Amino acid sequence: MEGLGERLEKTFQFSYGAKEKKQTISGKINLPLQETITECCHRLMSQQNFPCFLEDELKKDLIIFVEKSKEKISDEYSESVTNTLDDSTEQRLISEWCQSFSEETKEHSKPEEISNELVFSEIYNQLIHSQLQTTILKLENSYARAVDDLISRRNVELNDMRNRQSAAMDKLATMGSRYTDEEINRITHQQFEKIQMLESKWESELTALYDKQRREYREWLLEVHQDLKTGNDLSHLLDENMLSSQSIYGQDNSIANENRLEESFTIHLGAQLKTTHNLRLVRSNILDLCKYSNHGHFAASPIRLQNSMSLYSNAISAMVLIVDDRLNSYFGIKQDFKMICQDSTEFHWNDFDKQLEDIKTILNGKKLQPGDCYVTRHSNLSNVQVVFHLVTDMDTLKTGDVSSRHPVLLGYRNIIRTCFQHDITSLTLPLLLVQDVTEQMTISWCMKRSELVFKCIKGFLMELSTWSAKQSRTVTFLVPNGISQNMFSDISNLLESIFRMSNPVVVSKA
Amino acid sequence: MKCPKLGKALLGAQTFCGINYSNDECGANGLPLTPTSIKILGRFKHQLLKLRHPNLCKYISLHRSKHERVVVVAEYYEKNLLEIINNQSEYFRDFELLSCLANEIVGSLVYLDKHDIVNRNLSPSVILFDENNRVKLFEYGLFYVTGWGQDVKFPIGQLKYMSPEVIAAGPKAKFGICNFSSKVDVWSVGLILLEAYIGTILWKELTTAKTIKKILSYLKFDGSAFDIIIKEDLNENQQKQIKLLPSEIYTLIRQCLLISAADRPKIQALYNFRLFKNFSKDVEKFDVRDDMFASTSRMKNFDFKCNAGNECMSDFLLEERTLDEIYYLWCIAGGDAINSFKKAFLVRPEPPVTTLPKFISLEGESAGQMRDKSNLYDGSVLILSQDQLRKRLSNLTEEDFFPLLNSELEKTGVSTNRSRNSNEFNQSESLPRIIREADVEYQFRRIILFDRLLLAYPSKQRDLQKEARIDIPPFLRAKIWSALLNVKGDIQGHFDSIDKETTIAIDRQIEVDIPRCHQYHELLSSPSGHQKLRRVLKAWVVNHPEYVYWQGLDSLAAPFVALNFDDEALAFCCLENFIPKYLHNFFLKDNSEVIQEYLAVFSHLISFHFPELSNHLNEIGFVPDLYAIPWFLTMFAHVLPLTSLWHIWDTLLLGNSSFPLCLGVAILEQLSPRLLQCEFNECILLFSDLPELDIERVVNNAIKIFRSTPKTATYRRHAHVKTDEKMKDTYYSEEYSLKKECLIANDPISLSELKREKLPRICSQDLLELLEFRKSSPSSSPTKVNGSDTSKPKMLIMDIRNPEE
Amino acid sequence: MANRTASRPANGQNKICQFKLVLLGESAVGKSSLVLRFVKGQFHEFQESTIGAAFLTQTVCLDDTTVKFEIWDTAGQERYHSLAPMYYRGAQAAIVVYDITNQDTFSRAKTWVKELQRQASPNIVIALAGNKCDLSNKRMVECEEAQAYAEENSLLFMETSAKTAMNVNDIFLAIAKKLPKNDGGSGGNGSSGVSLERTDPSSGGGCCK
Repeated sequence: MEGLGERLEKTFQFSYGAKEKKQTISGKINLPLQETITECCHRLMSQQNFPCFLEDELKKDLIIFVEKSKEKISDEYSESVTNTLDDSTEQRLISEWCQSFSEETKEHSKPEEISNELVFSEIYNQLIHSQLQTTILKLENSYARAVDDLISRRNVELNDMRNRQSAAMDKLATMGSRYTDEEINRITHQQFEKIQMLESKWESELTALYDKQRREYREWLLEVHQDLKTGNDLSHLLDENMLSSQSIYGQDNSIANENRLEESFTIHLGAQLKTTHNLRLVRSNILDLCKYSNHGHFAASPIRLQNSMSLYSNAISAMVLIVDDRLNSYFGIKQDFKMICQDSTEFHWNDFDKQLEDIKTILNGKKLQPGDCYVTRHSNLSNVQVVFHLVTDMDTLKTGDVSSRHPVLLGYRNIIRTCFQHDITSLTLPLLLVQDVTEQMTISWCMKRSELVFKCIKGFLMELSTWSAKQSRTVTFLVPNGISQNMFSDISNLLESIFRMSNPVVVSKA
Repeated sequence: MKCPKLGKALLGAQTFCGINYSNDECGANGLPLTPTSIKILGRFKHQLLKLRHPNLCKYISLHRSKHERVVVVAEYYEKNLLEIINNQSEYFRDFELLSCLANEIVGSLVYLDKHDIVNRNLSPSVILFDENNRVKLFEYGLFYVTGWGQDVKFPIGQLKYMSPEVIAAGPKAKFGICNFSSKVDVWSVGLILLEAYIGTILWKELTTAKTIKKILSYLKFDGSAFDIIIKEDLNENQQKQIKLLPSEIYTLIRQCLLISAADRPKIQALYNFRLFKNFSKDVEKFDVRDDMFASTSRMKNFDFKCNAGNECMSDFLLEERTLDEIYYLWCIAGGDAINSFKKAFLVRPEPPVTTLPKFISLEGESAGQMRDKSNLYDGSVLILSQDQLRKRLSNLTEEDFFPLLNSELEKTGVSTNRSRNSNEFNQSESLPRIIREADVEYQFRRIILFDRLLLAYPSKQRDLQKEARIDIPPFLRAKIWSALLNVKGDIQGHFDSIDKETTIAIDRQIEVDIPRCHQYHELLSSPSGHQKLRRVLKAWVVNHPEYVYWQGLDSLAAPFVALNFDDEALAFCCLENFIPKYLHNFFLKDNSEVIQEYLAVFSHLISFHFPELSNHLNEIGFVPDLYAIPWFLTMFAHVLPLTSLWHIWDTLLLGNSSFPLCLGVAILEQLSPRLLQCEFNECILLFSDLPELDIERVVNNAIKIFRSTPKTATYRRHAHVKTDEKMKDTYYSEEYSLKKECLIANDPISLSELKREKLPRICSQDLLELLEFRKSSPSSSPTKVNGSDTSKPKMLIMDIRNPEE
Repeated sequence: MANRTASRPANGQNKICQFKLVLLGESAVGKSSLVLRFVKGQFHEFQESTIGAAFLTQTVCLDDTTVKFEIWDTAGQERYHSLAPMYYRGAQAAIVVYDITNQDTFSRAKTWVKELQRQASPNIVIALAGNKCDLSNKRMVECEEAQAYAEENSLLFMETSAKTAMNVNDIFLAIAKKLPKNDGGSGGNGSSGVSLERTDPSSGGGCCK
């Protein structure tokens, strides 16, 4: 009994009375039956004005009729599939069944299916939730310091060379026309090559360090886990400074930002059943959100601990980075972001460049278009584990005319839907769809843009929580640093009016 | 209809995943596709939950989890046929045992066939045995519940026991309707009986491909595969055994294994075989109602067991409780079936961060996603440990299980004689509802108590009402509501006799309203839910020619359908009794008089209780006509989610037809701080999306308002006048309109006058009562109030008559 | 039914006009969805049916004029028809909605137009909206047919989709443009340049003069 699927109309005939006065009555019956036999019987009786003494007889006949009709349908079907059987069909059937069993049932699937990644994630998740968490963080910290060290040395050396080169160029310039343009070009070229060589030397050194650290780290975790399982004494691994954890965890050292403004809201969405969500309005540079201020010491950060603990959990955090349609990280915000990723070793996922390569493979030559979005995963950023890189045409976004059907908003919808499907419970996104303040952004421009995005996000949240109503989510709307305090509070008021803040708790008058 | 008792059964859970429609696919009606887990849940509650047969493991519950995963909980036993064949290969050489086995399997399949369920999942491992060695078929609803396989990716059934036509149809042969009949199960029965008899599992060494080849090869022959199997697969000794088979059994197996589906008997035909002539074949009897609406004697199935052995008392008594009740308690005792699977490593979901796609296109297609292997089908059964629950209930005594009901002797006060824990129990009553509903022991006592009151229904109706004033245990809400609504008699016969099939004029309206009615609710948004709501609505319209379908009737019916998802007749009868009680004549073709009067009285009540608010609302022109029609026409069912509505109606059902007005006033009161600050536009916007309300406070305030409202203030000419009520009302549920002494009733004023007036008229007796010259009658509120109400109304009486009068 | 006073801060440059707009049409054609898309920018597939009527407001800025719509969204069921005059009485604009995938809803829309022409304010601006044009593969009402009908009856016409937001803002804007905004003889408090019109439904025929 399901409204779907086609129904077959059959004519049912029922005869009664003695031979000479035999009466036949017919009625329409739809198969599969959407009513019970009893109901059907009552219906026919009242429609045809049957005398009630015929009820039992009618019902009996009806049952037989329905049974026969159903049997006929299924017999015909069975015959149709068995009659057409030839060798090729048989081969097809065999492969279809085999595939179906081996790909969809555990019993017939290959046994070694538990992936290394799953094993590693389970081990990590177990250890980070154990007493060893401080030890792990300390280890990660010491690795990060090593990377930091190397990067500092690289920067010093590169700066040195750049300084020397520019000094040399200056010198050349002061010497006036003793060098031809051609010669100057040659020297410039040489300088550039030198820099490149130096850069790639450091690059490979860094890569080697990342690889080494990653290998060591993972081996160490597996070992410790083994020890833990076999009950070996791990007290030597426990941090003797545990007691002084106060001082370790004391300061929150994510980017201290005097520019940062923040407001939080709780909202209820939905006409009948309401879902509760949290909204935040934050003024900050988007990259500051995922950067540890002094990465050399992040072991001490409670944010780092929280990040590590939620990495494999069912409550992960993501942010949206608005990017252009080239899949690389050479310029602007994409380069800045990559630098942050490289501040320390990525122990869990492929490094950022490799992830981009994977995405390139998936794209298979297809060009990125506005509204597309590629996804990268990170274990060494602050506050987020997942980054959605939303492709857009930067120029049109800076002008005013963006409608609710603009690709970037459809992209937001796809992203929010992905969040709902994959337990991403916290999402940060640029409210104004741009990451820097420009002159075009007048007050009315900002308000109009905010209104559009607020309304769209509200709509998406309502629409997508239709059947997954229980979980509440946090959406952080980010506005760039250049937004004034006044504007910030205007936007905050707008948010309140669009999302119709839930009732403040009313103190009952007793 | 009553669920079987727990007995020695275990609670077994299984889990599988439905197909995930990841993209924005839409169905034929332009609406997004219903998630498969919702469709599955709908079918489960519609059909599987209703099935009960002594040889079927009772289905108990189905939960949805993330990513279209569902968990099915059912009665379970550890002993199964596969084990017997493997370990006691000669067990079924005994022809009597073999016939009995055949009879029990076939009998249960006949019952399933009667409910249009094709099993297609038969194998020795799902044929279980209880402690009395009675067959208990398990996992028999998988094919049905998955929409004949269309909602899942995995193939249903054990390959080896599939009939040739099932194999030939291929794994992807999935349709909205079932193309197979019970004949596919008949084939499996034949093979299973053969294996049971010879005590060997056939074709153990064959690969999947070879098994398919073998079964398909039969299609080249006519006649029975039995003959081929004897020749090809049995050894000499086994062939000898076959020769010893009595002809009835031999024929049975041979007929079951007829290769052509057209020749093979249907299950019902099989049941008529000579082998079964000495067994009872009445499968109808299992569906006869034996609950409070039984059309036959309810005493028939009544048995009180006493503890004969020295077993642990509470364990023994628990076994006397029903399976669904035990499972309900298991859940509130902290049980979580899906979590149990994770703990047992039977489900190892990949962390979400690893299953994310790497790329999402503008069109919403995602790519680079890792397949989560934990979604593969794994038929393992997890036994849910009852230890925790038993521990939580270990303090219960025999008296707790059998409380005495002797309220008829006591006219007032506590109605039931409670055991020594009653002090503690009374304390629980004053805790917030949400805490009470999560308290296992409290719920257990409430269930026991109401269960007994319901057993006596309708004779203990008054006690039931009194107890319901304390609270209603959610587990029994459906039955308690129907008792409060005074549903009686042969409800099934009544419902069955109404034509819900023939097209009527209002069909289109119902059709467009249903997919918009409480669609956040998992049952009401399922195809089965739509179908049920349609049938209940049509039945009501057809059965009440004096009334018509007004939009809103759908919302009104929805709570009853959701609550009685496995019992349409009861849902219908509750609706049918609810409407005259609270919405008398609201569904007249011309209902404006009725509604206008109702709203006018509502206005008066606002003025009476909250003059400041009333003045403000009148000033800005925010009259009830603008917002309160959907409130009252649907008794709040259109504006509140069902989760809130349960609690509102728990109390509403105890009051008379003016109580809903008090609920409305209480809602306004809760919103009044905001309303008082708002102008017209803001007010109406506020009500276009009713803000989240504190329901417990609304209910409690409504009761206070009700108690302090003079009865005559709520007088309505259009209120229902009861005629044939035999049951004596308690004071609070009585319709005041009937009272003879009521002067207002004898001298009604016109609607226009009523609308013009700002305040209610009350009669002199009510005035005296307000002044507390008259002692207020006891039990005058829908729920029990401890202690006396100290807030006396302050009153100023003004004479506004002209001096001449 | 509603007799209330409105006070609006007089704004030097901007003229503020307030108009009453009513949505009419068969059940489930998407009246509420259109309004919600316009006012709240949201869309809900399973939008609950409207019982009686619902009310929302939205302001539209047109050059130097601010147009404030008071929108009455009515119940679609034929039976609620008796309530409809209460809502369209005094309305300066109406959107009659039909569903392009259902011919019957178009016929019903025509009936509504007739009734409005007969019963509503004489200067009422009527727009016809063919909604659900995202489902054009299931189209039953041809765009040309509706267009021709609209022209015959001098209605504004657009095919809309509350789901994709197509033409939703546009149709409200078109109405706003077409509504008369000159301020002669305002029935309000008459402050300069501000059209304040409290429409009292019982008086009928009020229009923003």
